[in-house]
This record gives sequence, C-alpha cells and structure tokens, in this order.
Amino acid sequence: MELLQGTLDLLILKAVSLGPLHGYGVLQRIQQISRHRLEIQQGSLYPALYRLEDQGWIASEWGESENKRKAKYYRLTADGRKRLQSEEARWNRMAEVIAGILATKPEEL
Amino acid sequence: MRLWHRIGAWTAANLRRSRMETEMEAEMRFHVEACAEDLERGGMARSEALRQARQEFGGVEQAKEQCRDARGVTLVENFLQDVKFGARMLRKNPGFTLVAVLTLALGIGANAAIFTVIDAVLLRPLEVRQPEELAAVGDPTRVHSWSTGTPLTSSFSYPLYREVRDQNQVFSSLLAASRLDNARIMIEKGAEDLRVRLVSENYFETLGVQAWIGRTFTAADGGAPGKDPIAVISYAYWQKRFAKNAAVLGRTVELNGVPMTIIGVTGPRFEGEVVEYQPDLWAPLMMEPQLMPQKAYLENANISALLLVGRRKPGVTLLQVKANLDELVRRAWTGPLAGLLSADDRTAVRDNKIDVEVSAGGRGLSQVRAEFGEPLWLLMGMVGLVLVVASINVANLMLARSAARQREMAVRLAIGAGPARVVRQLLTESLLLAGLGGAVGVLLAKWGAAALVRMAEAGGGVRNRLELDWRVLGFTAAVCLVSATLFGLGPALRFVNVKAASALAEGSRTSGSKRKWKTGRLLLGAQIAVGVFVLMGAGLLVRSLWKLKEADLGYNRDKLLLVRVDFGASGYRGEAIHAATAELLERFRSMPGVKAATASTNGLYSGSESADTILLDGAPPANGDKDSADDEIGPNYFSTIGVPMVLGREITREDFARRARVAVVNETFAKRYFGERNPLGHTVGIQDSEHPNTPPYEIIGVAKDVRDHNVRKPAKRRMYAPLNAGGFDETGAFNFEIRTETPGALTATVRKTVLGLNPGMMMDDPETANDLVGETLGSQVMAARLSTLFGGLVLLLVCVGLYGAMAYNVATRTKEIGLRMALGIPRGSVLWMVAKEAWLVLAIGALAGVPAGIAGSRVFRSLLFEVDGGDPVAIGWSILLLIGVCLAAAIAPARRAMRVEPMVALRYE
Repeated sequence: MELLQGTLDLLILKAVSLGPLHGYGVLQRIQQISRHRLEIQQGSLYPALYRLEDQGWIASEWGESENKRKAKYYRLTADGRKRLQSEEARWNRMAEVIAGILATKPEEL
Repeated sequence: MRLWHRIGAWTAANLRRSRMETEMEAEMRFHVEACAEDLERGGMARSEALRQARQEFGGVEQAKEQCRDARGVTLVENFLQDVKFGARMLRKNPGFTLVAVLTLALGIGANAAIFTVIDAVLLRPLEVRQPEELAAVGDPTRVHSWSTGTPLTSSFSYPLYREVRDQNQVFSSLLAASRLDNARIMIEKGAEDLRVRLVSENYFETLGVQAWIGRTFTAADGGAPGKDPIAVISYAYWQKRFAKNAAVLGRTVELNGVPMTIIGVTGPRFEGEVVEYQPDLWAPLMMEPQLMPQKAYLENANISALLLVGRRKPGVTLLQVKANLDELVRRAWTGPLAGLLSADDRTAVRDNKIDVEVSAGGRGLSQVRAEFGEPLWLLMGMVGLVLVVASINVANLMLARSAARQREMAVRLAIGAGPARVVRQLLTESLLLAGLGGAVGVLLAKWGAAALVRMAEAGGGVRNRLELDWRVLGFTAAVCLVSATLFGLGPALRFVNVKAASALAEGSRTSGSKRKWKTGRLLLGAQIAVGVFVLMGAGLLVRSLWKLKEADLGYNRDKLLLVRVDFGASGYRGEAIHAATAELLERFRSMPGVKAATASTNGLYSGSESADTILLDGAPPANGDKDSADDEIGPNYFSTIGVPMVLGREITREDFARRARVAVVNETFAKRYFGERNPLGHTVGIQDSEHPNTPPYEIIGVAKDVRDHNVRKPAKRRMYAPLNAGGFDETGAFNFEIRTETPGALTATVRKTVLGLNPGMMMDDPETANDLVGETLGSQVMAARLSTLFGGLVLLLVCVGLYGAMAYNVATRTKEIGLRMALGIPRGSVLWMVAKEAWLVLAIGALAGVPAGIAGSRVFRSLLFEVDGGDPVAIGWSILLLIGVCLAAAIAPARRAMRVEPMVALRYE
C-alpha cells in the first residue's frame, strides 16, 4: 500500500525508537515491522530523516556498520520520544474519529 | 527552546556546507551499496544488483536537493549564487554600473551626511553611566545664559540649588554646572584661553564618570568656598597640552590667576554634559568666588547661572520629579531663602506660578539643538527626496537594460527557475548596487557632514562630535535597503510578467519598449514633480534668508561697529567704570573715520537683556503690564545707531552734563501704555526694592522700534534711561556703538584703542552689526544653503535621467523617425515629435509639483520669514530652472533625431 501523506515521519520515529539505525536500516525495519505491506519511496527517506534531525527529534552519529563500513546512525532523542508518543496518540484519536464518521448509519442522523 | 535549536542547527548547517555535502554523498552511497549487497545475497549479479539498487533509490540529486532544503541551506546557497552572478553582471556592464553606483552614492551619501549631524546634535546620548536615568532641570537650551534679577527656575541660583539638592526626594544625586567667563590658563610660561566648566563636587559621581588617571571630584571636595583649588582636565586637553604624560597629576596651573592642582584626567569618550561645548577643564563650583571675584554668586539668590542634571531614583518618573521640585522651590523661596530675597522678589515669586522645567537629560544640554533641530529634520526630508529621485534614475537605467536581458530571463524561466527565484536574483543585484553605492556614500558622509556643520557655522563643538557610529551605519544600511527596493522591485516584477516563449522571439522587442517608455515617462514625471517640490522649498528658504538679511531692523546695520567691554571683570569698580566709559567714548570719537560713538548696557545683539517693573506717573500701569524691557544709553544713542525719533527728541550730551532725569521710549511702549495720547511729559519710574526711591524720568521722546535681539520677533516695549543714572543693577559691562562708513576697516583700530586704555581689558572682538545679526541666523543660513545644494543635486539627477530617457527614446524609435522622414515629413516636425514627449512630462510634473510644494511649505512655516508657500518668485525660479534643465538634456538627443538618415534607419530592420 502507498503511505498516507505525513505518516513517514511517524514511522521513522517508531523505527528508530526500537534502536539506533542507519538510513537503509530504517527502511528495512519499517518494511519488516509492516510485514512488507507498505511501499516506501526511497527518495523521500533521507529528506525526512534530515528534517526530523533538524527539528531535534532524532540525532545522528557516524559509526561502523555490520560489515565494518562507515555509516551514519540515527537515534531517538528524549524530545523525539515525547513527540512519538504525542503523534501516536493523535493518530489513534484521528482513526477513532474517522471510524466513527464512517460507521454512521442513516438512522443516526 | 525549540526555536533556538532550529536557529542553531540552521547556522551550523550553513557554516559546514561542504562537510554536509560529503556526508550526504557518503550516506546515500552507503545506502545504495547496502541495498545492492542484499540483492547480491539473493543471488543477483553485482552489476545488476547495483543497477537495481540505484533505480530503487531514485534520483540522488533530487534527494540531495530536498535534504538541503530541509536544512535551510538552500536559501543561503542561492543567495551566494545570486551575489556571484550579480557581481559578474555588474562587471560586464561597467558603464551602467559606474553611473548607477555614483548616482546612488550621491543619494545615500547625502542622507548619511545629514543623519550624521542629526545623530550628533539630536540623538546621541551622553557618554555616561545609564543616561536614560538622568533628568535635566531648568531650560536645557540656556547653556551659556546667566540671569541677574528676580530668581528664576529656567536656570538656578546656587542657594536654590543647595536647597533642592538637599531636600529633594526624587534624585539619588543632583549636580549643578555653569560656565566660566573668559577662562585663561597659565602653565609655566605659556598662557592660553581655555574652555572651562564650573561644576558641583558631585558632578562626576552623578554622571557616573570615572577618571582615566588620578581621580575626579568627590563629596569631600565641596567643603567651603576656596578650600579645594583642584581641577580635572579632559583627555583631549591632556593629549594636546601634556602629551598624555601621567606626571600631569599634582601639577599646579594658574586659572584666571588662581593656582589650581590637576588631580585627574577623564576618559577619552567623556566630553561633558553640553552637546556643543567640550570643556578642557572642570573646576569646582566652590572655587567660583576666587575665579570670578566680581561676580561671586554662591550666596546670591538673584544670580541664576546654574543648570542642573540629576539621576532619578529607581521608578521615579519625570512628572514626579517636576511635582516634587515645584513644591520644593516654593518652600525654599518662602522659607529658608526668603531672607536672601528683596521684598519685590518675594512678591514676584509669590504671585508667579512656579513652573520648573524638567526634561529627559540623557542626551545632554544644548542650545544648538533647539536652534538647528527643525531645519535639520526639514533637510532630512529633502535629502530623502533626493534619494527618491536618484533611485528613480537607477530604476530607469535598470528598465533600459532590461530589454537587453529579456532573453536571459526568458531562458531562465524556460528551464524551470520559478519566478520567485528570478525576482530574487534581480533583487540581489539591486542590493549589490545599493550596497556599493552605500559604501561609497558612507565615505562621502563623514566629509559631507563636516562640510555641512561648517556651512551652518554651528561651531567646532558640533564638528568634534561627528562620527560614524552604529546608528549612522545602521541608518545607511536601512537606506540602502529602501533604495534597492525602490529601484529594484519595479524592473524585477516586470520580468515576471514576461512570457517565456514570446520573449524568446525577436519581435517582442518593439512592443516591450513602448510599454517601458510609458512607465519611464511616469517615473520622469514623478522626478520632475519632486524636483519642483525641492526647488520650491529651497527657493523659499533662500528668499527667507535674503529677507532676513535685508530686513529693516530699525537701525542702520551696515555702518555700525559694536564692541563689548567688561570693565567689572577687568578690575574696575564704581566711579572708575564711569570714568573709563567716558574716556573710551572720547577716544573712539576722535578716531579718524568715526562719525559718532555711544554706549549702552544692552544695545544690539549683545546677548544681554534686562527688564524691570515700571511705574507710570508714579503708579503701576493701568493696563496691568507692569514690566518693560529697558536699556541704559549714552548720549546721542539713537542718532548714532541711525534710528529716527518719531516724537520729541533723544538724550543729548547736554542732558548728561546736567544729569537730567529724562528717558526715551519706543513706539511699542508708547502705543501699549498711552495709545493715541502723547507720552511726552509723562514720567516713567523703576520699581525696584534694591534701588528704592529712585526719582522717575520724564519722557522726552519716542523712538522708532528697533529689532535689537531677534530679527524675526517684533520689538518689545522698551524704555531708555541715561547711562549710570541710577536705579538699575550694575553689570560693569557696556556695549559701544560706533558709527562709521567703513566698520570693517576700523575693527583693529578699535581693539587697539581699548587695549591702549588697559592692556588687560576684558573685551569681545569688535564686530559689525551685520555680522552679529548674521551669527543669529546660523540655522537659517544652513537651511538655505543646503536646500539649494539639494535642489542642485535634484536638477543634476533629473537632467541625467531626462537625457537618458530621451536618448533611449530616440534610439528605439530610429526606425519610426526614418520612416516619417522618408515619407516627407519635415525634420522640424520630427524634432517636435520627440520634444513633445519631454514637454508633456515636464508640464505634468510641474502641475503636480507646485501644489505639493505649496502644501509642503506649511510644514516648515516657522523657518520662513515674510514669504509664504505661494511666493511667485520661488515658484517661477523652480519652473525656469527645470525648463532649462530639460532643454539642456534634450539638446543631444534632439540633434541625433535630426541627423537620422531615413535610408540607413530603415535598413536596420
């Protein structure tokens, strides 16, 4: 499925909250935890990562990958954790509201 | 918190742009390779895996650009790109760049110059601790004034100051300062005149000024008069006279004959509390009786020579200060100081409302500010208009150039640069131009400001204060921005409307140019309107100045030489003063070339004035105006200074010989108190409890009004009594009026004559009456000269602009002109066709400018003298000058139009 607009940020935060990852690793993890049901545009991944870092939700650090190559790792910051929580709550509330609207029967009007 | 983080990240990102680039490159490469490796593990060949990985990733450049955007780096990147490109463009068109930069430098530089002066005189705070806490008490423009008589609150007497200082509840500290007349210092063998300020012992403490070396005055130095002969000198004087030698501390110098020890030097930036007066030396007020023995005033409640500055306690407002001081002064005069006042004065202070003037003191005391404030702001407005005209010229230049750049812009738009980007590029170029113009302008400004001050004859004190501080530079930068927007926005927005496709075709040139000429015409018309406006203003000010200089002041100012001699300060007392006055008069009269000589206490433009309560026929005046200005005059005063008598006769030598108690009054006096009746024969007396029982004077003549202190204001009612007849306060200084055909030639001789009587005589330099009057017109002179200069600048700019526009017009219409000529239309009418456009612009501009000028002149009405906005001479001159300019500008293009060869023109298809 294609991503709904604006959800990439949320997914990245969630992915990184489970442990520090480099960019490719974030992509893999998202695909993994979504059980490959989501289509991520790879080109939009890095702009999103840079934006999130600029806003202070994630922080980056150069480190070593599994096969001893230099890679930039991202981790969730304390502010990022709070942000993830609030965005998660908002998402759930929104889903509830939409579901409620969609479930309305003609008689209830 | 969030915002700071963002700003920090943005700055960091911009500063480390190249590092970010390499990091991004590495990161994305890693991603692609990691992806390829996974595919390889799945069995794909290496090259195939890499290809697929890259494909899956998508456009790397696009991703990078988006990343740069996310970090906010693109803005700065683009700006730098624009600047580099713009600089290249400017270099490729040196002619255009030169003209534009010079034009802008003129406009911006003139603005910066005026603002430098405004900053020095009107805006800059004192170099003291927290100047916003200071309050000035008294009239802050009376920096050199001195009042004897009924006590005032526009300046303070020392006893009153002491009361206020000790009893107030609003100041943590209150200082008093005054001038020291004729200060002369002797250091070892050398003597020189010096600028000295007498200050209370808490002066430096109140202002919060530290000594650079040594120490400043403290409260302990205020013990008793004459006890502490110490002085503090300024850094500038220390540099000039003592070569910054620290051994100056403890040295003794002689000030007005009194030995004083130098105890400290102030820092380089402190220059006193008066804007236009930078003292070389500060002496304690407690030394005043020693330094000015004949005018000792520390215990005299009638001599008001002090201005006060206080530091407000926290939370105290100026209104509270005023309320407290009004109350305090009343209590002082009715209580502790009552004993020092005469009965008349006590009545006077009881009857008059006490209204202490309190104002913010942070910017110091200044007389120059009051005089030059309004003209300066007026000139600021005018010079702003000069900038507008200059900007319009540059805008026209840019519009003209836009034809050449249409293709470039179209290409840009075609390859996908958004219109915003193109506009940004053009605006950046405008900013570059404005920046260059501003840089050159700032260089001109410092020099221009000094020239301006010299033109205004405002004195060296102001000139020393001129500097390009952050306020001036900030103002210049703002002006550059405004100017860039003015001349850059129009052409830039123009481009956005150009459709890419149509602009790439050749034919679009002609249609575009027609539209540009229309806008060009509008701008030209605006320039001419502004030109008329400025020229009218200048014309009005020049006419005013001329009228002021030629005004009938009631006396003959061309043939009068005036000199003021201070006998009291020179050591004379009592009868000796009268004898010396008579002796000098004799000597003057016997000088070759002198027609007559006389003396007076106040005289003409001497800077001194007096007034007294009068009695008419023994009783206070019926109409309630119990005061009148007065003067004591020598024999034949009126005939000497050239004032006719309207009624009766003047006071003669015979009157003096028999000590007749006679007086003359002026027309205003006669009209005020006697109306249509004849005042001759009535008596006028002085009511002054310090000179009780003074016999009254018989009025023997009415003289024509004389404008003796102020050219603009009408004469006050005045009575003239004979010199030394008694009844008036003795000042010991007299003005001598010498009538001669050649006043200028006699200046040296007069000086020698006075010094011949007494080599140490304290005197002012002899000056002609005309010069003295001229000195009071300093601000008027400045306004007239500068507005003329700006008018000239505007004319020059309009000429250049008009020339450029017309030349461009002819150049683009060469084909049309050639066609018309080929069809047989005579050259004359072709010329008319070209000229017609210019006249239209001129007519519309003038029509718009004249009413604007008339309306605008109301703003500076107070500077005008006997002319008003609708003055036909001023309007006439402005129009004539502009017509002249238009003619001059049109000559070359017109000639070129005439010389068009039809065949050649038509061939250039």
